[in-house]
Amino acid sequence: MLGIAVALCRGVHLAALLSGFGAALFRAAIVPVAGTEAGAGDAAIGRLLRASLVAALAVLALWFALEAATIADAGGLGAELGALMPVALATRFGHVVLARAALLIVALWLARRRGRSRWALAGLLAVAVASQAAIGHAAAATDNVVLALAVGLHVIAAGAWLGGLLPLILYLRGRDPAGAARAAVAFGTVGLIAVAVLAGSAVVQSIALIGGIGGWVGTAYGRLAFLKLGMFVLLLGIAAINRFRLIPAIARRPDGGGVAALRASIAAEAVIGLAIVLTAAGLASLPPAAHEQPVWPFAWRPSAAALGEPELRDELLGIPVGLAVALLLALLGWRRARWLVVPAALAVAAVALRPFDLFFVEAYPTSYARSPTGFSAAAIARGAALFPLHCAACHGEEGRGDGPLAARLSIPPADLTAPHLWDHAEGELYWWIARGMRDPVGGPAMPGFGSVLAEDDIWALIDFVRAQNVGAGTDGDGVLAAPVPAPAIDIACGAADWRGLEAFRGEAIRVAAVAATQPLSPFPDAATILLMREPDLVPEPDPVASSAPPCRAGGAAAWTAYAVIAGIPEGALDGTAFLIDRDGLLRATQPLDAPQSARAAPIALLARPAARSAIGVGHHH
Amino acid sequence: MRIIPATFAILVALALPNAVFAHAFPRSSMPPVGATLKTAPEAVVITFTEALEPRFSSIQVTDASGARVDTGDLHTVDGDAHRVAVGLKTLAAGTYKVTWHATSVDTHKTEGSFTFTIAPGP
Repeated sequence: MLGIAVALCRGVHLAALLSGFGAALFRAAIVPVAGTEAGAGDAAIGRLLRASLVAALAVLALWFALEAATIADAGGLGAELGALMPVALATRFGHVVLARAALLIVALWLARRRGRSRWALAGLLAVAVASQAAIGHAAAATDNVVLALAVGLHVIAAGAWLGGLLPLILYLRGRDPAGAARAAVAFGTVGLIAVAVLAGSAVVQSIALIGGIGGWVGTAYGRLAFLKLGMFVLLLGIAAINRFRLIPAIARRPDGGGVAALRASIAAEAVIGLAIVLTAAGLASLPPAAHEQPVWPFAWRPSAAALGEPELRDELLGIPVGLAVALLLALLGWRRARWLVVPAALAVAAVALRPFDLFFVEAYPTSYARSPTGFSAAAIARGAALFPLHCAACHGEEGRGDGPLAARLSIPPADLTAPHLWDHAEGELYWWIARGMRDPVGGPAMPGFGSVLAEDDIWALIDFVRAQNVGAGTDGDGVLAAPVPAPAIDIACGAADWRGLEAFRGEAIRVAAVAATQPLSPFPDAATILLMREPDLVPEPDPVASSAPPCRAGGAAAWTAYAVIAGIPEGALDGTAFLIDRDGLLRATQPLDAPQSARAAPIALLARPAARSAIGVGHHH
Repeated sequence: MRIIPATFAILVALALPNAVFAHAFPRSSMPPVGATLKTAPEAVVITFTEALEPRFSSIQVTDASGARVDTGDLHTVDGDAHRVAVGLKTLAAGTYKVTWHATSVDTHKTEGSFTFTIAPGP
């Protein structure tokens, strides 16, 4: 309940704020262009501006009180009152609300002064509107400046367009046809710029917050975003009708009937605009799709993997060729024998489109689910412990599909060391482990483990199987066939300096598995991290060496995981080096004392970025 | 006019690396999740995926009997709101549970727990 109230307050506040900004901008930018003669509309816009600012201020206070109660988990009124000050003074949200309230109060004072400082007022309110980027989802992604910029521009553009609709209606009231057309055309220019900014910034936001098609279709956030997109398209349609039909019609009707029709159309736009702003507030209160596990609703999903299969490529290339022939046919015969060429062209197109279903593959509810483990060493080690218990009987101890029970199955169990394992989406691997697989005649080929294994166990098994696959597929030089993320480990670089592996992004590193601290030969091409099975996790300065001691990582899980991904028994891992590139991708595993000649190729790899990693390539069955 | 699509492509590319980010969840921690340490740590430090509101976040550490062993002084590390730390009393050998509640700067809340063990070596 509280969540809905917070979202509603957020939406109403935002709508009032955008209305105030839009009105201020209209007075500053449109009124002087459209004609300086002060009509009744001008005073009405001033009243709308002040009313919007007062409403924005009042609802902001209510929104803040409700949000403070949520942040502080306040149960009763006393706790609620006690939470107001700390939330206002000690949180980012509180700071933004205080700053915005101050801006609104100054804006109210400016709005009372007639005629002057119109641009100052619009600028002030633009800052208040743009501060939306400092709260909400964009603010949480602190390292994503582009996203924050996109949000700021998006709300300003929304205010310039949607917030200007009511002022435009007021301005057009009783205006002569020529003046009305001038104002509407001037506003149309502002609207056109706003639409371009809205669309561009929306794409940036959707990439960061929704991700791909799974997020759009498979989450509540994505579907709400679809609704918002649909309303936006509807608005564009109305705006186009206004621009190309209703505005030109104004001049043809000197009785003012054209202006009335335009005003009614803009009113419809304003109603949809309000619905869009409320939907935006709903989105802000939902977890972004990129944070959620999408549930794919269809039995099929689009896939371009077929393009990568040589035997299918010719068939697929026939699609554009066939469509081009059909189009040509229709164009050539359009004048003379339409009744003949149109059905013929349609028939050609239908034949050409026949292999179109190759662009769709079977899908499951978890097809777009993402592993929550972050390919961590802990998850790989957990999977390593589970694999012998649940999987090895059929898939074999090493995953080669040669377990003791394999011969009894209707179709042979998958060889998990096959190179294409990483091509499968992790969400689909999850579905097969949880729900099992069927053979082509519908009989059970693999049992489902969803009732035996917890979700996290299944994700851990996927990480293990993928790591094992890398170990099995690495060639003699120790260079990985395709780079994969290095298993995530915790690394100590000092008594209080702990980092994740991702803290080294941008830096080539060498993870050196050693049984005990030992002096290592210098390795100028990458920073060294010692991986130990039982590390003393606080590195002590080396009294002999003057340089800082290498960072350390370790523990049984990290040791196991790196042994698995190297394809080496745990007992033999001592003395193995893992080369990880600037993007955090594992490129090679080698003996620490590999001769210089064998090192050259992997070191060359560290210097240049991976063309593509093994993940998410797509695979067609 | 070609500069517009080019600029746009750059913006999109810049937005991509963060395409998947979670609500505030631990990215790494000291001691690491499930780690066995030889020496008792003096603090628990957790690095989160998002900046936190320290005033409305907490880390509690309890021993096997459920008694609090942290000093309750949650603070950010080096002024980085992604990293928060809480001091520990002098810990004996045993298994300890770390329970965290995080309020991200976007006001959303998350929580979780993990354990670590202190086992002095021979």
